[in-house]
Amino acid sequence: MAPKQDLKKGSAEVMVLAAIEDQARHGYDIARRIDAESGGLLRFHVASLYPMLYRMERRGWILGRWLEKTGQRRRRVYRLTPDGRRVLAAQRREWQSLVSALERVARISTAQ
Amino acid sequence: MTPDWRAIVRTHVPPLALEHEPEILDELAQHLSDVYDEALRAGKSDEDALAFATATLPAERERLGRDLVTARRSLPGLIADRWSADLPAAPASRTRPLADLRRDVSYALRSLRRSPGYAAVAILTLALGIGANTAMFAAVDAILLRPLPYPDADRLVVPVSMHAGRNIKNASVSYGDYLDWQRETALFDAVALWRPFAADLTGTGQPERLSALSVSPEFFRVLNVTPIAGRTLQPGDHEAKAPRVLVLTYGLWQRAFGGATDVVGRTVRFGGVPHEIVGVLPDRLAWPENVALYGAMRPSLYAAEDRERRDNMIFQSLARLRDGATLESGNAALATIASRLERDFPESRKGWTNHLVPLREYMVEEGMRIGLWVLLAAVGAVLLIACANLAHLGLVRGLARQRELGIRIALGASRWRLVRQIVVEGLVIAIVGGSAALALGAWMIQGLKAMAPPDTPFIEGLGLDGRVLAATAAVALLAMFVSSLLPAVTSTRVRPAPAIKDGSPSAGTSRRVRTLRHGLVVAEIAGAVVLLVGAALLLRSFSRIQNVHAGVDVDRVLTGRIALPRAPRYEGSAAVAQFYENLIDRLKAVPGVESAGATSFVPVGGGGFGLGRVFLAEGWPEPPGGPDVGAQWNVITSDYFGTMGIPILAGRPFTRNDAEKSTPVMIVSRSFASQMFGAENPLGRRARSWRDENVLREIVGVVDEVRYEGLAERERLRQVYVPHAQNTWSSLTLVVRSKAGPPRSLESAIRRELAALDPDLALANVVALEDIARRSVSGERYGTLLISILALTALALGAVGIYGLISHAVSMRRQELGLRSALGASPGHLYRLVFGQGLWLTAIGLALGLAGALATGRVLDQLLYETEPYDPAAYAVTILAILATAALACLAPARRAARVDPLTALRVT
Repeated sequence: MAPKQDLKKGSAEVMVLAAIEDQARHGYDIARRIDAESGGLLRFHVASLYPMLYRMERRGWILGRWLEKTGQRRRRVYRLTPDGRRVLAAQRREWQSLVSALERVARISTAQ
Repeated sequence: MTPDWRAIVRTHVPPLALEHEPEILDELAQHLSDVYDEALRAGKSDEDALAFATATLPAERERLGRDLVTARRSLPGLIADRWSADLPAAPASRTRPLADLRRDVSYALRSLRRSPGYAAVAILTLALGIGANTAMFAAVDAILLRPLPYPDADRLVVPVSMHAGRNIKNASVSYGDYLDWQRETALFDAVALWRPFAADLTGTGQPERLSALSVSPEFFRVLNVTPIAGRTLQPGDHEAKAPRVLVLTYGLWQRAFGGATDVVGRTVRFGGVPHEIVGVLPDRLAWPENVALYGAMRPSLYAAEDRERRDNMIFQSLARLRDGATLESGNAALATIASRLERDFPESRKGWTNHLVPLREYMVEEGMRIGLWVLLAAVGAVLLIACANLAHLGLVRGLARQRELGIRIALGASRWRLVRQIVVEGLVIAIVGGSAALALGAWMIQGLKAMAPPDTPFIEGLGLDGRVLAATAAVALLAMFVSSLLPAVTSTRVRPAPAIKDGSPSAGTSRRVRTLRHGLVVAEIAGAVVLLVGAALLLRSFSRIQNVHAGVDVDRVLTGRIALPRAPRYEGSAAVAQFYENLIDRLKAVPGVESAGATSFVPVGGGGFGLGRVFLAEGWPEPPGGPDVGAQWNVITSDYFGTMGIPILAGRPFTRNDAEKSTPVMIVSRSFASQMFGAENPLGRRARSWRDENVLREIVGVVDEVRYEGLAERERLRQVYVPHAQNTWSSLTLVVRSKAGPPRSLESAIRRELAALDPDLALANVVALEDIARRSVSGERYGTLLISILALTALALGAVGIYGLISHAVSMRRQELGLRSALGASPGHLYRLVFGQGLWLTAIGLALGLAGALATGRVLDQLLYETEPYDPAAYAVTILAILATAALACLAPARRAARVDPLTALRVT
């Protein structure tokens, strides 16, 4: 159904930003973390994850760096930029107000 | 063994043509490798883990490639992102209108990027509608609106003669009129006379035939131009014995003299006589536009009757109204003088009056003026249709965005903010569409210029200037503002809860919006109908023009003008007649030439010296005691009729035996014969041009009618032909028919024979007769073509409107249609349902449009040739075209409706 997909798409960015808020992560790591934390409900595929990462990188919200460790393949890890931090904060506020509006209007309850 | 992840990724991702492509592939390969490793750890077999990892790549490789590319580089995306980059940092405050605007623009860009189909259609519609308006406005501005380049140009007028009874307008004036008007010092600052003529300029290289004006002393004072070199004419230049002088136009100075600074004082031969160049006019200030130089009129050299006779209307005039004098007061004064003349000279001035024509009106003939305004109205109508389409698109888009708008309202956005959002989105489209329109308009202007009929006044000045740019920008913004305001206001009337909860586009389909959309589509169809009727009428009219019989055989004939100079070798009529006879004999001997002749006036709009004269049959009393018969006086050589293919109905053509001293003879057109003699046989009867030549000439032949003014001439002039040997003119136009092949191929041979007789003579205006005929209707062709293009554009826009409406209605009613289908409705029934809705709206639009077309028919009447403005065929064609287009537009949605799966009815959206 269309609305669900849209909501997912809109929420994906905020989830990615949140996933690397405390620690730089590579793409697979980000996907796995979101997967785990949502209890398997939200699963990213290559097809949607990497275009989104590149887009966010181009906007200056996140920064990707190649990291090489001995004995391992090089990986590209992403961390939040100051801009990204501001975007995350703003999006959190927006989502909060939307969710509370939904609670009131559509009687969707989140907590209980 | 570890699989080659990079190779696997490569097969799933098409070439990206990105700088960082290897890195992207590496990263994706790493991802697959991680998935694979984890699957192994989870206990999967090698084979299963490999399949699991590969499955994370999508099956549609093109789509993944596209997503990767657009994520990396996309111009609108880059712009939108740059705009919004630091927006979240800005506090949302009412005191930051600029930040608000930036937010709106960035939001608009992103939202348009999300619906590229809508953006593309809207921009294209706008570009088409406004581009056409830009080009047409540029033409109207250049030809009709922009002030003439002379100081106080609105005070320049052309006094003309008119005769209501003979349907003569804008005719020339007599010398005595000019003297009378000069005494009206309260009315005019100055009144001038001018006469056009053409002569050969020699001594500057190849002899060249140039258009010139012989002007009275006041001429340059009337125009009020200051020369850029030397002087204009002085009163002394106009005396009989004064040395001959010339004033050059800027164009001729550049072209023939290379802009030489020492040109003033040089002597050139013009018309075989030495003239001194005394001055040069500024660029673009020459008048009329096609004139190359000016000489001094010497009234004292004219025959007394040319100066004194009130019916010798052989001069043109130009006058400057005194500051404060109006056209009305001027016309009243001229009418008073004219009625006094009518009393004093009843035999020659009965029915004649004079009035003033503003200079621009004089230069731009009525047909072109009306045509331009009609075309501008037509492009305006196309723009209105385009706007209706845009508004309609916007409404549909607004419906589809109900959920988005609902969420935003739920988030606290005010309605005003949403309205502004949508209007800003419209303005973004206006700017992009307006820019595209400018490019399109510039291209169309080139087309307008290239295809414009020859001698279109002011066409050189046609271009994209500040005025046109400003007009385009204003129209673009206004159009988009108007067409986005309506959707903005209606679609922001959202109640958030149902819009979010339901989320289906039908949530906001109120009755009002539906009525509005229907109204817009009806208006579009009505507009298209009006344009189509106009185009159909003009097309019918033009096809009639193309099929008229010109009275001459225009194929394989080349024409070219010759003017013999005033020189001793051409002194006397015998020498002139002999020259033309020799030339024609030489031409007939040229291989490939079938026949050759010469005439004073070229048919089908070729022009020449057309003398309107009045004739009396032998024995008739002189007016006002009896009637006279007006006709055009043509001087021709003996082979003219044969060369032109003009049939001789009775009697004989001229021969070389009709010489200077033999019996004076004439040949008349059928209409002249019947006007003068009714059913009686005109052969052997005699008639005279009673106030001019006044020689009784015997009528020896009657010829069929010829269209002299052009293929589309509305009034056929009666014709009288006299042999050149008996009325020798030094200027004639050669007409040469080739045996086969293009007449152009004869040009070099004609020039060679002419040079063999006299190397100083120029052959001017060399042009094929069929080109003359085609050019004579180029205005009609041009207008018909333009209005047809506009009508088709309108039809296409109307079709888009119907399609959009019906297609949207079908998707709205999917469930209902599925239910009907489930309950047993046949596909045919569903087809009828959809077509019914589309054709019902079309019928209303058609009815309104036909009423509009009937109401505007009278405007077109003046542009139509032998076609009634209420021509039933034109209306029938329009009705068919509209119905067919509407049916076509309904076809795809109807097919979709008929194929709706009955199960749709059961699914819940």
